[in-house]
Amino acid sequence: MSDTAPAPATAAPTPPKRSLRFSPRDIINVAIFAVIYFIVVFAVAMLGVISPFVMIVTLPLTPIVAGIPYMLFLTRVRHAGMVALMGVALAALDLVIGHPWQSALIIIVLSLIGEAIMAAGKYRSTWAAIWTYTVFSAWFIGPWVPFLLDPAGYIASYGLEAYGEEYAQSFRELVTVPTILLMVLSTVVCGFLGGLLGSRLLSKHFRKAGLA
Amino acid sequence: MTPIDVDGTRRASALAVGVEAPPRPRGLDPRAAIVLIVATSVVIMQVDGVRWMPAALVLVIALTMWEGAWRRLVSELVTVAVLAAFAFWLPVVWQHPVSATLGVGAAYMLRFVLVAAVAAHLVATTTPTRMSAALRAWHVPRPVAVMLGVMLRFFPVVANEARAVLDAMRLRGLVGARGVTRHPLRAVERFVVPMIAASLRGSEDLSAAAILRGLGSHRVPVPLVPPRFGAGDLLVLLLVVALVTATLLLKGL
Amino acid sequence: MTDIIRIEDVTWTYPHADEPSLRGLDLSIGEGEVVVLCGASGSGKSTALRLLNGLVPQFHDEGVLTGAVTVAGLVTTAVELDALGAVTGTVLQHPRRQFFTDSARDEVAFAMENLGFEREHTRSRVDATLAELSLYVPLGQSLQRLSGGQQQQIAIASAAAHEPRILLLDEPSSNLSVDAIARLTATLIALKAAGMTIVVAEHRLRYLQDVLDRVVVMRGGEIDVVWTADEFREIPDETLAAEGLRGVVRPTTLPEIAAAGASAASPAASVPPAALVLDGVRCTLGGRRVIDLDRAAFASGEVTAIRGTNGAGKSTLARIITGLQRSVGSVRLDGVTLSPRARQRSSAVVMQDVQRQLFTETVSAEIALAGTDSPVTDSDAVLASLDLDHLADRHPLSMSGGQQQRLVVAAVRVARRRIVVFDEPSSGVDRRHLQSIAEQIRRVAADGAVVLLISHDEDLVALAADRQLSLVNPSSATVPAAAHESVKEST
Repeated sequence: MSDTAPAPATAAPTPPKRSLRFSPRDIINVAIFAVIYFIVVFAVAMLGVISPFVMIVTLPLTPIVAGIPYMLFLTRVRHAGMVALMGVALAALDLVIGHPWQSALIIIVLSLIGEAIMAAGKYRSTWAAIWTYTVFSAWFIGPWVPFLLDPAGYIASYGLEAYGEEYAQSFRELVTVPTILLMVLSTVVCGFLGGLLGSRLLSKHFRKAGLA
Repeated sequence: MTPIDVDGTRRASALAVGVEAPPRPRGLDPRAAIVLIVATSVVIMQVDGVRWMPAALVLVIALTMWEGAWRRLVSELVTVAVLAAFAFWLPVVWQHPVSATLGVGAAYMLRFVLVAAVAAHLVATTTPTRMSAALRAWHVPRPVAVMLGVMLRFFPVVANEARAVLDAMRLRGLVGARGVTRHPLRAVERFVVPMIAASLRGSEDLSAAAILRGLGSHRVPVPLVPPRFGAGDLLVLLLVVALVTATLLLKGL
Repeated sequence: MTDIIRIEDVTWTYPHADEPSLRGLDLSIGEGEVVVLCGASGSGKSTALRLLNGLVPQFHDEGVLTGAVTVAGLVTTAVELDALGAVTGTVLQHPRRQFFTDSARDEVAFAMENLGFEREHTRSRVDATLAELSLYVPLGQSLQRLSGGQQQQIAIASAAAHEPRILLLDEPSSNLSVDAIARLTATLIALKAAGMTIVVAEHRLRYLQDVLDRVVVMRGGEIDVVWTADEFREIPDETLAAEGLRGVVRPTTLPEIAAAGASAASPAASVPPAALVLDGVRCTLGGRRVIDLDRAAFASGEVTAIRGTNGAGKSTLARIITGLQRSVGSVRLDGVTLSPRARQRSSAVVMQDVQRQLFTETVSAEIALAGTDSPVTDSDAVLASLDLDHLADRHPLSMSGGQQQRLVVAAVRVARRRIVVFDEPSSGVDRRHLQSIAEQIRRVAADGAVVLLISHDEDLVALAADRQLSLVNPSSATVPAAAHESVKEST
């Protein structure tokens, strides 16, 4: 036994279940689910590469499918802070794949809201989990945020205005506040469906397998 | 979404480690890299982000050359060239709503690609241990510092499981445009369920061994190679200052 | 001798399990003692090992533990896992899956860094450990590229570097070649001489004969019999076999199939045609030539073992043949050149981790899915022959590893594919079932398929394979150690 080792660990109390203290297993659990979530989203996006026609199907599919790992993750949330930590993990990944910083920020904010919803359900309610995921899935709007904030400015910055006034005009008409709201609404609806699908698959597969 | 060859780049960086000499990490200090990613994202995502693109491209080329990741450099340059052609050249030679739509899309994608290419440098050059140590030196809370490091390690594990499940599906004839469009949910369920189950199983040993060896515990880790701001970081910083100055001056003209 | 480990009346039930895995276990181990826990799998030997580093119960929420375990003065249920990790070093069954880093130096330093050792102390321990390792392992290699034996050496060195008082090893010989097992014995002897207490869970025993002090045979979660070192020496291999244990591991050599090219360890002058013929197959991955076969021929109705060390290209070859990996050259089945896609539709693989290929929610649905494009409808008979018929409504993910593997084999047989690959089928599966796995492989061959078996398990190869193809890395200059080892193995 080395005497340069730090203070010998004697009996350390097991942390209380509902504290902000993360055990090493909690941290690792969040990390693994963040990576799984990310790769599921990525893989479904790649499915779209098969053909453009498939892409039309897979685009709304992404928030639905991503509900499967996210809902499984929520069953493993044992105490406050884990949903928020998941948000930090996914925000970091979001930034790394080049999505705008606003998107990363949205992920963290939505996760904090989700944390509140889960807390209201005492981290045990299935419906709280479904609503948490529904809210969270609004992040899929993230990549579009800088564009949606100022579509006209973006088009102008490409210099398209100079030779495509007509086109720029029609673009401005297309990208309006109602359009943006429609996009948010559709991802949230897909997110809700994803929450339902996720919780259905929990009982169909993961609970039987002892994974949930 | 922008593809990054996480696996390949990690492999390349692992091979670069010398036999006898203690590994002198190539690439930016993770903290410097994180600052650069965020800074690039902030300037590029502005409405007039286009004029920051040349600066970002120079930075990407410099970082990738420093790493010696020539394959990635080529794929980055090709991607940027193709997107730039669609964004800035095609609409000029062919004025049509189609080319304009493609152009706007490509220009928007170009922003993502440039930020992702800066981030690829971080992912390729840092190790889980180095990442966590750097974040701790920044006084990032323990759960976040440990988690971000662990995620780097889990990526190849989960990606490998996902690939294996896709292989298994291919052999069973479960992959194909027809199946996906006809029963999209069923196709997806058949991929996602085994992939999650296999990933959780595949990461069990890794987690157990890491936790037993103190990862994520309440002890304060002491990295063998302490995170340090090195000469390379200084050079990149000078380059960044030069690029920012140039971009600002060019606007004034 | 003072007791460093004390297990008192421990009963343990895994979460979701119906039966306890350990029943009233009592065991004390003295400081510096080397104890081998053995027994068929399901006997509780690996579980007992996990009691000692606290993974049981701390890594399994909702399991039920009674009794007490004290390790180096720590009550395992009252301290955190890192405290137990500081006094124990653990080597799990698959070293490859427990590496957290990709270089020997980082891996050896990992525990000391995270446990907060002083930097100078860590550095001197790392340097000393690497100096020893450098005799057997190319330290600059990526860990994932090393041979199984080299990975094992690194895993042991990393577990022992922080100088714990106890070393725990779970089936350390399971994926090793005969040479590597000899190296393992020498390493354990050295550690024992340095005063380390060592507990090994194993089913192969003879290689430990000169290092062990006590053999504890377990059965059904209880201690069946205990042998001292002297008693153990007197026990013949036949008695061990009756206990479901194995004695000496002997290298198995089978006749080589005809193959020519840089990948073939013993190239043949001419290659006569057979059911499956490879012509000019070359594959380069990440700038390295991985497979280089001028010609190779595999017969149907036979089992061919694909052998060679890590990096020799075994899995790549299997992926090329099954159409999952693109390559130069042609692959002909029954005289017809098949595209990769067509090969995918003619092939089946029983993967090492079978969970990757279970897609549905019941056993019967899984079989129905496998049979969709095959005219045969004898699925009930196949299920019955694999002892799965009573499980038809079970969820595949809720079954044991062995049952899952049998289900995948059943699916393969129902699908009637012409090419079937078994990838390390005996890893992590009940030893007593080795015979039955071998039988299943034989049956698939008897159905008329070309069967390829990738395995490090000498016993399984001896039982299940008819011939072998020994591969070497065609660009062996880049991996000198691995190539060296495989050359030795093939002679």
